[in-house]
Amino acid sequence: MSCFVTVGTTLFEDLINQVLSEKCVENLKKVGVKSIKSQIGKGNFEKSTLDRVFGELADKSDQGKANYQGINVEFYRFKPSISGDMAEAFIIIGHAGAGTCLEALALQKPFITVTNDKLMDNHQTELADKLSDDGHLLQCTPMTLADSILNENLFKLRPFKPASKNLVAEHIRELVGVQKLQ
Amino acid sequence: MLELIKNFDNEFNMRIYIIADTDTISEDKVSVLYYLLHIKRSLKAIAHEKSRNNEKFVVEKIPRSREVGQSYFSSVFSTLNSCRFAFKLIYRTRPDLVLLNGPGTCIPVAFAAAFFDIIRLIDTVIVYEESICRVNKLSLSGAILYYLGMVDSLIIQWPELKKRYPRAIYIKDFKEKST
Repeated sequence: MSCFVTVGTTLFEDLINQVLSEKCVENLKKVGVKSIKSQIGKGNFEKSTLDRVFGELADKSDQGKANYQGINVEFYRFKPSISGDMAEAFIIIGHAGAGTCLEALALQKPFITVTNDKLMDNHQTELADKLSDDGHLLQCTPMTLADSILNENLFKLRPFKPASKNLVAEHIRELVGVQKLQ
Repeated sequence: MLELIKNFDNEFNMRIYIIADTDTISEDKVSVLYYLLHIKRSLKAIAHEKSRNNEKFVVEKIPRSREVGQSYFSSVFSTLNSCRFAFKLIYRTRPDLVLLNGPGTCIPVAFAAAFFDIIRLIDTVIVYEESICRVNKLSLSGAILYYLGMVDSLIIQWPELKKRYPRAIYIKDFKEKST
């Protein structure tokens, strides 16, 4: 029962550090998480996090593994595809990027999206806001992440059903004046 | 866009895929790498489509109209350059259907297609699908195409946009045809 954390290509140190805070790890354990895997992107852990969780690790390490509070914790920066890690996860915590949101929803995973409140122009949250309003995912900031994890709605989210492209294709065929060739 | 195209068979048996030129991306290395990976996967999917349908396909690279942070003055010239490419491409290929999904790269192509359609050189259908990220208002590309009335169908993915853009079509409004 793993928790997968992803920040995509962004720099989001608040998120990656918060997930490994004592409070968040405790809450993750409460909901049944047994391991945490973090894709940390460009950011770095704070020295205090590194010391507390990973013990002896260089400051700007690109990867690491440890056992912390009875949970296996590991991290890496990037992978060509994180689909595998997302598919294996029990719950997913991610930045509010559209691709991440849609992929997590397609996999029907309990998903918490964390908004980076330090960013000036947060246009990317338009989609996350809407999906949250419609009950498809939970939304929070790094400071409220610990509470979000314990939000009972995390496991009662509504599945997201994207539109059928087949009907769009049908409409386009009509416009052009062709028929589907059998 | 590829999800949509998978629904077509060889009623569209000659396909031209236009992607933004990757040689001049000015974003950071990681973003570029992911972008190239995305392109690679898309090309693989396109090739798979080709083998499924025995169709011909070509991939064309269009110069970007504007790089991130580029000055507006020089942007005029790079946009004109993109337009020149788009006009030559549309003139040469005479498409029956032009499918666009923004971002800005699609605008020169839309202009070229609309222009040649207006002067009756080609008879083409132009369809623009707005990104699912646009919930409350259209992207700049979408807005340009909507207000200039340049597309036959502008498809939106959230019903909230219907009030503001009544001529747009909400993607979930397409009905099953009763046979």
